[in-house]
Amino acid sequence: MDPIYLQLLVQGLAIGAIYGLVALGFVLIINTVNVVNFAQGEFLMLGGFVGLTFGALLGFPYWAVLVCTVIVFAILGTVFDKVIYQPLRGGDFATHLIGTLAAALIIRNVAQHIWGPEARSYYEPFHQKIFDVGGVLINPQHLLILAMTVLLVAGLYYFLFRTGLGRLMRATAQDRETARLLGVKVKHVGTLTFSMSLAMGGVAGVMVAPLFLVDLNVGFIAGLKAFIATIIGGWGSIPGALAGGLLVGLVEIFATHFFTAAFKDPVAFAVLMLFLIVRPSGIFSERVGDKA
Amino acid sequence: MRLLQYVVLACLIAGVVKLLGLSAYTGSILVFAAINILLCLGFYVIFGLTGILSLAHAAFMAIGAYTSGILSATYGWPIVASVCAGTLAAALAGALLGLPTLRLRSHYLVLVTIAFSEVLRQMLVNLERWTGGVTGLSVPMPSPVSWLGVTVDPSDRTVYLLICLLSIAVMVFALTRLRQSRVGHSFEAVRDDELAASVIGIDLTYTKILAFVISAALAGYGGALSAHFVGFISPDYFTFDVTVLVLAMVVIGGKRSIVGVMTGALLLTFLPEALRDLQDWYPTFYGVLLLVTLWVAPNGIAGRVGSLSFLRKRREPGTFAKPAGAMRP
Repeated sequence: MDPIYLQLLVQGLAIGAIYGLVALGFVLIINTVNVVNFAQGEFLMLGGFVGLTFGALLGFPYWAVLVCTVIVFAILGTVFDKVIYQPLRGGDFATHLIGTLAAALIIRNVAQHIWGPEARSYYEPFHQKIFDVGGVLINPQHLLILAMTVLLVAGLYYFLFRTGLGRLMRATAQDRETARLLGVKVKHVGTLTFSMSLAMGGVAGVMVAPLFLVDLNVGFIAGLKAFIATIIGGWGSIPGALAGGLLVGLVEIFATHFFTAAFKDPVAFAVLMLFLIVRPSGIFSERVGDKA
Repeated sequence: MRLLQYVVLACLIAGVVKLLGLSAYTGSILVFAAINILLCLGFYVIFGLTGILSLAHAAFMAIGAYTSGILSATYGWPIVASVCAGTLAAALAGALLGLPTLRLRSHYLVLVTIAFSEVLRQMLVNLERWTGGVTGLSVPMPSPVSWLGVTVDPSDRTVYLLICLLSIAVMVFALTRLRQSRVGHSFEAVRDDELAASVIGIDLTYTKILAFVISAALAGYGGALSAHFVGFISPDYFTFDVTVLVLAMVVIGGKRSIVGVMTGALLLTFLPEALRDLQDWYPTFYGVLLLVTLWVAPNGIAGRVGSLSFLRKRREPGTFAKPAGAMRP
């Protein structure tokens, strides 16, 4: 096999993992509070800028940048929950959608005032080193993204299925009213979910920053891709979000290789349309019985 | 007759503008306000009346603007013919987008419409041969139109404003009539409860596609009018932000009422002019305005004014609030 395909595979999986992480953020929020958060992509953008600030301006080591980003975004998630979600609680789908769209507008505008409108040179731990493994050129950043994604997803699964708090979250996702009746503080679970989702988006933003430029406009298109991944994977499914993300990433990279970069978004869109026609419930279909 | 009143009103406004001799700048703002009203009326039909949240408004505007622009710039069509062609092209695109999305609901539909606009915008960038790519396309100034011995010169700002205002007059009249007609009632029935609407014999396919077509045609018409007025189009004019701006106008003004969406369009067109100092913070400003609207007046300014106690009696029947919890999954 031509080594280029292996190279594209790694690249596609890495980009796909980023979409998958953003999509995971979507899915957690959808499951717990039944809101489609249109600002999710903006947190990827914001993550890039926050990482840039900690890493390049304050000179933190990479692990510290990641930890600080998680803390910043966990706080931001709580604020987001209190300011955007809580006041609109109980509204219909369109109300939440418009609310989060407004949030996205504000976030992008504020980010523009803090970091300026132009795309920034990126911050990265590997200083653009590329390894040559038997003719296959591997960017270590891609491997880092894949490793971190595996770690994050393993951590998420451990949290959801092995800890008490995770059980509360799953209970809320399955049946909000019953969970409340059984004494789960549904409101706090919601806040926690927003913090976790935003932290995931922020970390994805730090990791993807060396691949894209740190740019104000990266959020919209990444959010769109993650949204596509969520639907392809199966609405509300955690493994689905990852699988959908990886699929979108691979499709995008191979479309860029076989056609031109101009075709990568139309092809991703075509895959989405195909799924909506052939299998609207996605790869991992939503178990209807789980969600009353 | 109602239509005549609207037309006279439109002529009066244009006449006053002519008499006052406003500067070219103010004249432009007025034309943009009028075009925004047309765009918002289109959004009102699909979102406010039929309850379908379709976020492809910018795409329909782009189709109208580019069809009209290319026909007049490259093929030398007269303005009236090319604007009509642009409107028709947008309406056709609306029907085509409406068809596959009939079975889709809420988030699926939103995603497909956003993805459609983004892909269309990228195609406008990439199909340089016809669209001029990122550098855009110059649209020639509209040439005078003679008909039955009357010559109209649309390149004059006041005349252009009059054309826009007359279009609004006709559309407001038509939409008011539409709302009171069988079709309008079926739109509202679909919005309030799709299943119940289909049970009482409303053809969902026909109703939804009709809503898409009317909305897209208005967007395309507005897009074509703005293309000829500005004299230049580029894919940057039709980003997702444009759709969000129209959505904000409709939501802030009041998505359920024609007067409301017109108020919203006027408000968000003139506010940035009044708040010049806020220019850089404008997206934040209208984001916050949008959130505050959702908090205190879910049906916008018009909904708030309409629910004031002394106006209660004039409220139209048939706009009952849905019982709480009916839509909860």
